[in-house]
Amino acid sequence: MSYLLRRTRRAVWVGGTRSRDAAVREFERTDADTDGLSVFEVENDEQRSAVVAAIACERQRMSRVDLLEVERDVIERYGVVQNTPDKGTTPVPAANALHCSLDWDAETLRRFAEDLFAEGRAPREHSAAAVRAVVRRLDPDGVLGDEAQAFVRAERAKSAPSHEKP
Amino acid sequence: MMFAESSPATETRSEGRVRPSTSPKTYRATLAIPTTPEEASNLLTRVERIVDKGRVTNELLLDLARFLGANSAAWTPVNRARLRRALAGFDGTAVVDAIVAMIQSHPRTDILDEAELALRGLAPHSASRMRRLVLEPGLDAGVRVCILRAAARLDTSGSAESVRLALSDPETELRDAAIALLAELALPTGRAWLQQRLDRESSAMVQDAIRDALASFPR
Repeated sequence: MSYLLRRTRRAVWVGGTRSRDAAVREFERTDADTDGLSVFEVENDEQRSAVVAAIACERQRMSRVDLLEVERDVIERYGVVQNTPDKGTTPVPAANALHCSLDWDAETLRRFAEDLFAEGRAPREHSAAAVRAVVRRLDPDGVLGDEAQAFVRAERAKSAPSHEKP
Repeated sequence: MMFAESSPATETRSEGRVRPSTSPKTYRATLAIPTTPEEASNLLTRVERIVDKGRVTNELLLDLARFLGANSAAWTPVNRARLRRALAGFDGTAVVDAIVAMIQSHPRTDILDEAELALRGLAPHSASRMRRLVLEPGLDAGVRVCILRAAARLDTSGSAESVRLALSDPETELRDAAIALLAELALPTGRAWLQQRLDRESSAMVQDAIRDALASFPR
């Protein structure tokens, strides 16, 4: 079974800060979102790790990554899921290959978010330590963009044995 | 402080203190929305020329801020970096206010993440404006977290007190973010602050976060 992953944050879905309005806003499309909302389709933990690493590189910080995971067949009840690897814009090509677009109207996105909230869905949390581990496995030369490459190099340098550090 | 209530998607918005003479009623987006990397690149080239000539307007600033975090193939990693550099070419306070107004309208996680990155790219003196905004109770908690993270990374020692205050914030999301920041930035006083907070913290989730942070702290 495949899952579609969408970046979010725990506070929206879990605990005392849980908020239906905030959940809806997580799926609110702006006019700049010309391809619809981005999600990533994964079937295993290796692909999941690529997405986590991509998000860390994109935001250039090594903190927890929260991902809402929804079964593809559930999402398809609301609309078409387009496989759009050419539209992935993260610095990690392996994650971009998993990119899909929800090119839906505002009302459908709202209904989807409200239903996820009503079901009590919670994001899967990837701890800072887990994020660091997947970023350190990346090849800096295979990452897109100078800033993201520098980010990966800096992180890998921290994990290198002291005699290997520049 | 007032922030936008209307969506940038509607092309009309109110704004904060970006420029008092800019009427929220009359502002209209002027930049066409790019749909391809080439269109975004061309747009950025025009913007970079405008910045070089010093003909920057606050309308342009607001126009650019709405592209942060866009889910669009137009915004490749290279174009996103150029966009953030262009924003960094503006006056610090004006750009902080424009970005904050935009994310208050759209506090979506991916938008908040790229906004934070843009704020981190501004001149260090912008951190003082950010620290004031973190205290704005009218702002969404996610927005305040975004600003706090940016300020702490832009000026770590100058923002330490803001992080300490956030540890006691009524919003759980702020406390959670402050804990993560203390662990990540390894502030010298961080361990003691976390220990003190643990004794008073009522949220089990935040207590767990503090214990995790304490475990990761250098001894």
